Amino acid sequence: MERTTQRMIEIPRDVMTGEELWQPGVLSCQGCGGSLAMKLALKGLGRRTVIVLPACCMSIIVGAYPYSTSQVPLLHVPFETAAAGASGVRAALDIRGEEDVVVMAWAGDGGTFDIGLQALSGAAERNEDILYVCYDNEAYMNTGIQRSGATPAGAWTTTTPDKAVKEESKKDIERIMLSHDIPYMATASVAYPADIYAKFKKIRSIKGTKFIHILSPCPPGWQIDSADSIKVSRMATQSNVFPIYEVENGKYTINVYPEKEVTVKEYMKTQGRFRYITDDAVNAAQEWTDRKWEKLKGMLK
Amino acid sequence: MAVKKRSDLGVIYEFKTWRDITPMNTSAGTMLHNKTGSWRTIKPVFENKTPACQNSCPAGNDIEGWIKLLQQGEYEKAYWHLKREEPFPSVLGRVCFRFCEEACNRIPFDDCVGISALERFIGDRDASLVPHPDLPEYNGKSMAVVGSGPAGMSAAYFGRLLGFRVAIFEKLQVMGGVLRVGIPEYRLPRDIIAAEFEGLAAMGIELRPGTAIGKDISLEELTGRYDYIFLATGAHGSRKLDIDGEDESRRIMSGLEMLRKVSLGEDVACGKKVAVIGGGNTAIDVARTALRMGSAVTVIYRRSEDEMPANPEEVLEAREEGARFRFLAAPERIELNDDGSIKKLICCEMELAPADESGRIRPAKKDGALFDVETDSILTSIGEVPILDYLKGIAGNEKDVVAVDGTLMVNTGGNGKIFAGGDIIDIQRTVVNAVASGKKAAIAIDCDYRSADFGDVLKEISIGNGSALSFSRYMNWNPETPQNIHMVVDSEKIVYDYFEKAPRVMQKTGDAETRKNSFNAYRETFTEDEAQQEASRCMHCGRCIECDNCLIFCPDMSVLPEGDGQFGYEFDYDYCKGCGICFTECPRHAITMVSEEEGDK
Ligand SMILES: Cc1cc2nc3c(=O)[nH]c(=O)nc-3n(C[C@H](O)[C@H](O)[C@H](O)COP(=O)(O)OP(=O)(O)OC[C@H]3O[C@@H](n4cnc5c(N)ncnc54)[C@H](O)[C@@H]3O)c2cc1C
Ligand SMILES: Cc1ncc(C[n+]2csc(CCOP(=O)(O)OP(=O)(O)O)c2C)c(N)n1
Ligand code: SF4
Ligand code: SF4
Ligand code: SF4
Ligand SMILES: [Mg+2]
Repeated sequence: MERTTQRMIEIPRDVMTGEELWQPGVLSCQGCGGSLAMKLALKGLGRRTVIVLPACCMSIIVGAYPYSTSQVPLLHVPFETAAAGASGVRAALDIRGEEDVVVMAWAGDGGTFDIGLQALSGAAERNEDILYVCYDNEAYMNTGIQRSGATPAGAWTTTTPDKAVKEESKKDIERIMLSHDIPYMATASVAYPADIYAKFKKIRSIKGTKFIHILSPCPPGWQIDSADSIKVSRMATQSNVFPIYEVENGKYTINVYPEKEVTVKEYMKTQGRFRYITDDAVNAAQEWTDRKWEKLKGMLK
Repeated sequence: MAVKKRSDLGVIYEFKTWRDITPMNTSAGTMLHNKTGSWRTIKPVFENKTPACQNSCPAGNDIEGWIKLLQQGEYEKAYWHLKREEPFPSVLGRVCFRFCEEACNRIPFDDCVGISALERFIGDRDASLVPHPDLPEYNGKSMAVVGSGPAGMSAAYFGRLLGFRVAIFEKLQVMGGVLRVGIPEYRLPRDIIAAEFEGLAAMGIELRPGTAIGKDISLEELTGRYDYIFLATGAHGSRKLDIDGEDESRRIMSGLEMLRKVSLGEDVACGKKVAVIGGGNTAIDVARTALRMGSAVTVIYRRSEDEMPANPEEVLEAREEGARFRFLAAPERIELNDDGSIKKLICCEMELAPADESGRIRPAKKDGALFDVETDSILTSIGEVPILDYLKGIAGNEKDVVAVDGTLMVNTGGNGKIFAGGDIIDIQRTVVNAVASGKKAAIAIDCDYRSADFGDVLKEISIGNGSALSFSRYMNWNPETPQNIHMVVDSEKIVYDYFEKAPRVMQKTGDAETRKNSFNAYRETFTEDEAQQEASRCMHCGRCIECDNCLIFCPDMSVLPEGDGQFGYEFDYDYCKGCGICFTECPRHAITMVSEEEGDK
């Protein structure tokens, strides 16, 4: 099996040093994965992009009206309407003949896994020509770390407080999206920036509904040191908790085979939110992870 | 600041009245007014550091520095860069015991970088006689170097770079010390040494072979003629076995003498069977030289193989060439025939007693466990001692070595400024340590001449946590990027996730059969392709190579590349929140976090 280290696909230097569509002054916390994910996504997409943003941390990070850090048009929409809003913008742009503009709905995990799922399912079923990005920090962070369908089992949140940690496993959003037979579905992580860049560049030439699920660490929510947020995200992939792959018209590709292998326990140990997890729950999480990884590898054939 | 201005990168809108504001909140304007730098309590700074390899090189070789130039194909620049800290790459690239490689941060990952092979490549490729680029005017002071081994060569080289007029006095007709008359030709070809001396002569260093101090010129006379003296006469006396029969036969010879004779082309007859006594590097060289002269060789060592001080790689090669080893055995007495030839060598089996207080394992004789060794000659290599007769009446010596102070100065009671280094002082006896002592003495001599406090200078120029000194730092040849030479980047600071495993490229080495039939060198210098491939394995520990990781990972767009094609980056402290991601994700630890309040680390 081919093994990949982080910088197999480079981000061209002129892209990194060129036009910055995501300017500093952002209101994200120190070490925010979300802000980084957006910066890298826009590097891949370029200027001909419209962002549709429901309520989530990113709607704060970008700045308050009339200021916005984004150098591409950005439309704020209600919490549950990211995909519907994006579909509307798409229709408007098509009428104006601006078909090359990518419409990107950018929602949190709460806005995707939970409250926005209905609108997202509808848009995917219609195969709207939009890109839907879920930046996943594994809880409702903006309102103070409440449990979402994306929160992993064993994690502390303010709604699964103290030792009453979440018992249910993370919802399999990839499988939900794939069951809509969309042309492109991918996972990504801020620990692998070149991969994010490549994927966002690629989707420009794909028609129909594209879905990208990005793991974005949240230092206060995960209770980690801001300096470690990339390291922890990398361990999520090294432990197979968050594999990096893509599915193009039904064809699976695993994009990152990490050289180093890490156990789920080691991954969890890096984060304060897993402080109360029991050994049994760790073992269950390891089994869950192994099962999903084997299944994923099975899809390659 | 050469950094691109923010206004070049994005549009800053100014909203003067509410009428300027668009009726719909699509994006317009920026958040640049929001200087998030004020949130910071610690801040990142770009600061190159000392890689583990350099930290472990006694001479403080700036390995990463010249590997980087090598990778750029700048071979000549790499050559001169290398020579700023370690003047003899073709020599050390062949005979050094490679302390750097033992410390290389690549070891916990796959295998060390082949530093010495690369060093040899650079040395051999550009051992050019173009004028030395760093040569200064003479400073009006003179320096006599006694002994032309590596310590003397190094002191002369650095002394000349500091402006001294230098002459090297050598007892023998040939220059190079052990390099020339100890280390056999198959490990260090003679033309390599000759080229180094041509280089020294081209720098204006006077070479005086065939002049023994204490015989041809007295040390007193020399101190009268030169402002500074550096003594480096090496260890050329041999310890004796101190057993019966030893002094009566010409078939018993010191290994060092045998090597010297072979090196000078004199006749040496060892006979068919040779016993070599000792377990150090000299013993191995003696054994392999005897093998090449057609003898069957047995090396007899009184401890076990694990305790052998010789370099393991050379022991292995000696074995491959057919040398036999008899461990835990020591000569007891020698019985001679009437014609002075050896009847037999009688040895005693030894056993290892538990380590004594000094921690060294002592071998002890097993009672009555004697055995015979048949041999035509015996070559002893049980230790070399300095011959210091020329010092009598000038300075004292302790336990066979010359006593020196922290600046390598000999206490002469005011009779001249004499310094000493190499094998005659109490340091590890290797070529690189000899070179290091020559460098240190040259700097100490310069400090004396300039009335600078050597202790203060040491604080400035000591590399990492070892004893090596940075000549570049002493000369203020400072690199572009700020460098903290005291901080060492060891393996714990490397982010291995960013590197790919790659097998080490080895120098082509002749097989044992062809090797043992000739004195020709048996290892080949890297080709350019091999050198490039091996150099690409270096992780450039502690030194920024513009990999862009910090730039890519900063969630606050606060790492800005230098403009105008200049090397490196600057932090935009207006917006950097001090998250520390750039610090943890720099694969090579070239960024340091400092506290905003105290400015400490
Ligand atoms: C056989 C052998 C093999 C070795 N192999 C290695 C190796 O592979 N790698 C390694 O790192 N180290 C090796 N060493 C150790 C290393 O060679 C020495 O530590 C090093 O050469 C010491 O350098 P030096 O300049 O102090 O002395 P030397 O190299 O011994 O040079 C001293 C010089 O001073 C001259 N001299 C002596 N007295 C006078 C006088 N009165 N007037 C003028 N000149 C005088 C001598 O003739 C000699 O040329 C080896 C040593 C030996 C003996
Ligand atoms: C209909 C509705 N319910 C609740 C909210 C309050 N609210 C705003 S953001 C948010 C949490 C968003 O969580 P997520 O989508 O995971 O994004 P994150 O903030 O974690 O990035 C909530 C509950 C709202 N704006 N609208
Ligand atoms: S990888 Fe390169 S810089 Fe790092 S210790 Fe090894 S040789 Fe030195
Ligand atoms: S990653 Fe960016 S914000 Fe964080 S410390 Fe480095 S420069 Fe500052
Ligand atoms: S991350 Fe790369 S570019 Fe940034 S300081 Fe480290 S070596 Fe230099
Ligand atoms: Mg969330």
